[in-house]
Amino acid sequence: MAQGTASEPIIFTSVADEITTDQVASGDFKSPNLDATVNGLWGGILILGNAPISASASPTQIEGIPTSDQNGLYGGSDVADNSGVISYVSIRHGGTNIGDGNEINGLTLGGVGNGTTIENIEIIGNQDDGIEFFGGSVDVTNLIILNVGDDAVDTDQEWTGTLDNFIVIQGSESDHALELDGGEGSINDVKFTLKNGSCKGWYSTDDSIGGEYADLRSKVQCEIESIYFFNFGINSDFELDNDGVSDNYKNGKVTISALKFNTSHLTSGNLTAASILTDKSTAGDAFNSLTSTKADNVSTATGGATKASFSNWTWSSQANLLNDF
Amino acid sequence: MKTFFTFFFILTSYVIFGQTGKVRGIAIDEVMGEPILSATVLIKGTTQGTLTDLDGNFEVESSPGIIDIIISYLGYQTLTIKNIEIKANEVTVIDKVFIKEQTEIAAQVVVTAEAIRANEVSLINMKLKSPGMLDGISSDKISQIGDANVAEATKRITGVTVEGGKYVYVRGLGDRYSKTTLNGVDIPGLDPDKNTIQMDIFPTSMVQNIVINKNFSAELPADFTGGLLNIETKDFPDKKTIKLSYGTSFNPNYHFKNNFLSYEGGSTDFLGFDDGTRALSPSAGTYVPTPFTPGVSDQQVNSFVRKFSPILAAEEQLSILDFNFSFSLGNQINLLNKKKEKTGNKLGYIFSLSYKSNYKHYEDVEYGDYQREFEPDSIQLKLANLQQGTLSERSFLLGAIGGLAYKTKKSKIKFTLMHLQNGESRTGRFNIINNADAVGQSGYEAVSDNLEYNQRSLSNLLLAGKHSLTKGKWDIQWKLSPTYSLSEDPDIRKTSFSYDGSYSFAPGEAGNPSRIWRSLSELNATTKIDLTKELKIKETELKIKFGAAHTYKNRDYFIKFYELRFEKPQSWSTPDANLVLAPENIFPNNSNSTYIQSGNANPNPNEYNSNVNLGAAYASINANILNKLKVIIGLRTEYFVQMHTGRDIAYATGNTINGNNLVNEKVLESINLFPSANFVYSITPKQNLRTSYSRTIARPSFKELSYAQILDPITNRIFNGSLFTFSNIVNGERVFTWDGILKETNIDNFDLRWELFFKNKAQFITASFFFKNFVNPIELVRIPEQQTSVEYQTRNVGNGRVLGFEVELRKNFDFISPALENLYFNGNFTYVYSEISMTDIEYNARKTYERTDENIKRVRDMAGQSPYVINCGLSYKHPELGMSLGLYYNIKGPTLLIVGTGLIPDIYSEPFHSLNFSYHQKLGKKQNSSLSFKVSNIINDQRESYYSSFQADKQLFSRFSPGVNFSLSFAHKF
Repeated sequence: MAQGTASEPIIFTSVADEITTDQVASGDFKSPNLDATVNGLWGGILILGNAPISASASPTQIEGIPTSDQNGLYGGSDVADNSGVISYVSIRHGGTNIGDGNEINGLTLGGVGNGTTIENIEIIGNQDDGIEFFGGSVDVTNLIILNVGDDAVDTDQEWTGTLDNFIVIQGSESDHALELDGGEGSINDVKFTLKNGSCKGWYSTDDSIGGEYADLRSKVQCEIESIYFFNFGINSDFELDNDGVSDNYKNGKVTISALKFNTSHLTSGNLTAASILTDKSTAGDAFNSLTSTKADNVSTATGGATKASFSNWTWSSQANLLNDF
Repeated sequence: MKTFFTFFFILTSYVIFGQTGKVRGIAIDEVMGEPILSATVLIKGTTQGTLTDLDGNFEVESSPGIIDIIISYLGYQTLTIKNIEIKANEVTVIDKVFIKEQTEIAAQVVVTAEAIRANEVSLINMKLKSPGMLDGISSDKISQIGDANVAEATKRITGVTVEGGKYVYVRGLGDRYSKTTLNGVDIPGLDPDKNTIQMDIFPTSMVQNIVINKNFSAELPADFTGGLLNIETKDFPDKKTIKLSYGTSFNPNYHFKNNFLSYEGGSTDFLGFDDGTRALSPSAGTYVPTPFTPGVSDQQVNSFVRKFSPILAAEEQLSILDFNFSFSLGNQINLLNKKKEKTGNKLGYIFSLSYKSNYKHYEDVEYGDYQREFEPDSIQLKLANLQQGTLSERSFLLGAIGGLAYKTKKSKIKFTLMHLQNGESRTGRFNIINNADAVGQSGYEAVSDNLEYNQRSLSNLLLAGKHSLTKGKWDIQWKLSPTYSLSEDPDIRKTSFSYDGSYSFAPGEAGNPSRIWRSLSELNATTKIDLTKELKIKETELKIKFGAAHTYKNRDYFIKFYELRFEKPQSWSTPDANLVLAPENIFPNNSNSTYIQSGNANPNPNEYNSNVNLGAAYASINANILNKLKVIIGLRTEYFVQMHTGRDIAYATGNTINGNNLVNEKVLESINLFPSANFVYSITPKQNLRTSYSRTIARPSFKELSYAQILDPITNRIFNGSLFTFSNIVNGERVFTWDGILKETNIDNFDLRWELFFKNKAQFITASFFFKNFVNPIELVRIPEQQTSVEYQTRNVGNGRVLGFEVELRKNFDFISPALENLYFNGNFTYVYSEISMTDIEYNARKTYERTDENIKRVRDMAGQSPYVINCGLSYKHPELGMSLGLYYNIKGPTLLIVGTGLIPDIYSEPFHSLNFSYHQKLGKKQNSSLSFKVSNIINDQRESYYSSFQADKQLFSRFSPGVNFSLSFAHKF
């Protein structure tokens, strides 16, 4: 249980952060000494439950916890598993790695069941992913992710919940706004939903830094609806990574609707929804019959997240980072 | 060491020769294969003579000329050795003389000195006569072949494979089940986690013999199962020898390469140790200021970072030739009393200094990690991670051994000191491809520079005594031997740029740059005493042995880890690792702003202390019944306790409830009985039938019984101590998949061997069956719960057993033509069936990933056991021309190295076809000089290991090419 309020959110941060409880109580949620880009000063929050996962072994060891710590096991058979309540929580400057390729996300949800309540979450400056789902069935509402070192939203091992109303603001080091992976084990025919999101990319004039829109991998199945993307790099794409996910798209197991791409800051590169949506499969034809209800170009903020949900209790809002949304 | 050296020269100067010469030899009881004490040795036609001492050694002095000597001993045939040439001021060595018990047929035997010298039967005779099954190689054979060091010489022993100059495999059984001792004493090797000694450091001129016991008897330590290899150094060299040798070698893969990778080290690297250049700044051990540490100025962070060497990049250099040098001297001198008369007491001494400088360069190193697909009909393996590149190694080895021995007729005291120093720098540059589609992988590309240095040293002192009491025929031997060893890896540097259109350090990908310091120090002290009494009851000779031994070991180990981080957004123009700590990139400077973060929790989970106390006592009886049946029955008991101080990472990071912290707690305690019974039945004098039973043990090492997590920075593979537990949750209950309790392995051994010796006994054929039953074998297992990183742990797996068949043949080609009398075939073939009964956990994990049409059984191969081993060779020698030639072939069948899980397949070694040629030529009128030419790995095979899964193509786990090696050496005796 970590239940803050809009006026007094719970802040998980490093000992190096000089923010005080008095300061938070006074309504100032900004760190006095750390930039919002500082990351890797501590680990992260990991919630591990007994809901189903699709992994090569169940339970399995969560990424970011050393093999030797048996508290790192997650996964089971209880879809309605209840891991408690997390609400009005800000997670900052974390994500230290414990070994190459083995790092801690801002909020890691491994096998968390849908009896759990997770809402109103802010993740700032995490060295690895912002939020990563490893299977499970939990729903997450009102999520904002700022300046992460890797992917903002990452899914693995057949998560079956819904992420509703989310904002992603990428930093210079960020990778994909959405990195969506499927199962690794016996569960292969379930899907999750992402809806009502707004993602701001990191644009650099020479395209040397900055991440991408989205990467759909392995055999992922999902519904993605009403997402607004803007300020991404010249060659950024929203890709179906392989044959498996491309087939899933063609068979209706991956659906997209109301994706809005704002590329008005660009003069070249991937300017249209048709060029941003890329099918990397052998056939490469998944997006041949793209319609504007599925994906379209816009020049102003259209659809996506309800930013008012973040306006009172987040550092992002106090730093005026939500103005473009 | 310097004073020691001077001492030798003072001793040497006391040697005073008159205008006489000497003859030296050893009298051996042919039946027991042991030296005879107090046999009479006389020069024929004179009263000049002596008695043999407790080693069976004799020395008689004579004026120059041709003499005959007569050796007699009560109840034995009198032996006359004819035509011994005595030269002024020289020692003529006639080596071993075998004396038989008197029979009604013959009371006297006459042989020529030439015949004795030319035979190489002494060790083969030992093989025939020994109650245990043993093989070996003696100093005489070594000097004929011209092997320069013990590792090379050991390869000539049948059934033995030596890898890397130190790892011994006997009958295809891995090094966990082999053991190496020096002068019968357990000493930790340069690799303290293995029961092994760096053998390529011992010049063969220091060695009396190398013997391998293939089965256990009570006076031997019980922790070997495949073989116990003992190197016995000389105590009384036959004659004064000063030997200088130098050599070089060329390998087209290693030498004269201008892309040999290296980095700037210290000024004493060439002596095998670092001069402090790579040392960790003392303050870094306790205090690591970062930009986020309250109260720390930017300047403090900056100057702290500057304490670390800024060299992170591998540089290309030219590699030149390998080079080695050794110097050895030895002699025995007769001690004189005040009246300058001989006291009959002797002083022997040996000293050797050796030095090696080596390059190794592998341009096509490959490390792979592969997985099975989940779908049962997907047969082929999926790549998870692939690392390819160049790895260069530069090593220096320095060894010094000095020995002093004092002998009266019935007592001998031996003292040896040894120091080995080895420094090796490894530099690598790799490309890494990680596949996001594989389970647990994030998907990235990277380039990595790896700089490593390892320095190891070993200092050993041995004090040993042997006393024979003629009255009551008692023989007492004792040994005291402390050893101190160190193995340190100062400043292992790894810098991996992840690449995705631009270069950066990404923790979720190839990681931040890192620096590691590791240190291991170990003290080991062994004491032992053995008593033997001989008896004769009617026609049965009895030998009763009993004794006791104690070993204490204490190890301290720690790892310190530091990570380089970036306070500002990264921007790197090129993936040049030296940019990372370039002044303009160090915090608080504008770009990148590198700072250092400690990765060490307090207390440090990667720091431990362990100690072992091992007490042993034994008794055995050796009976020789009517010269037909030899029986040794013995019982040994060993009490072993291992204590550990260490903690897991959970405890170290503050989880005192679920974490574990051990403070000098027992992690292993056992008291075991090791019975052994050996029977040798002589069907004819040249034909034996042997059978034996024994029980042996294999215990976990310090590192295995710990909470240490040891990363190999080059391959990114991690070893985990076995104290870590793993569990599953079944119906809400935690069920261990590994309970963290690593037990010792108990082994029952059964052997049956038939052997036939023919002609002059230097030729033989043997055939053996063996069966070994393993309870709680320990194997290296891939940790199934961990999917992101490649991690292993040693675990007890299900019980196992091996059934083997071995044939051995040594035969010359005189049946074709008498001219081919000196052309020998030497061959040994071992076939082994091994199996492990899987635990339910392992079986179920494999079953989950069973492929279509695959039928997973309850048993699998035993890890470390090769299914077959072939060692064979042709050797030719021409004593008159001082020439010997040899061609040797060795292969070990595919061997399970690391036990897989469902997702990750098993890893097997690929058979390595090792074909080697050697040519040795003595030079000069007195044959005092010699030249050796060798070619190893003639067919240029590669060392490979691979992932093996049902019907799938093999995928590489690791590969490197040792290349064809040509070596040339020259030695001169003064």
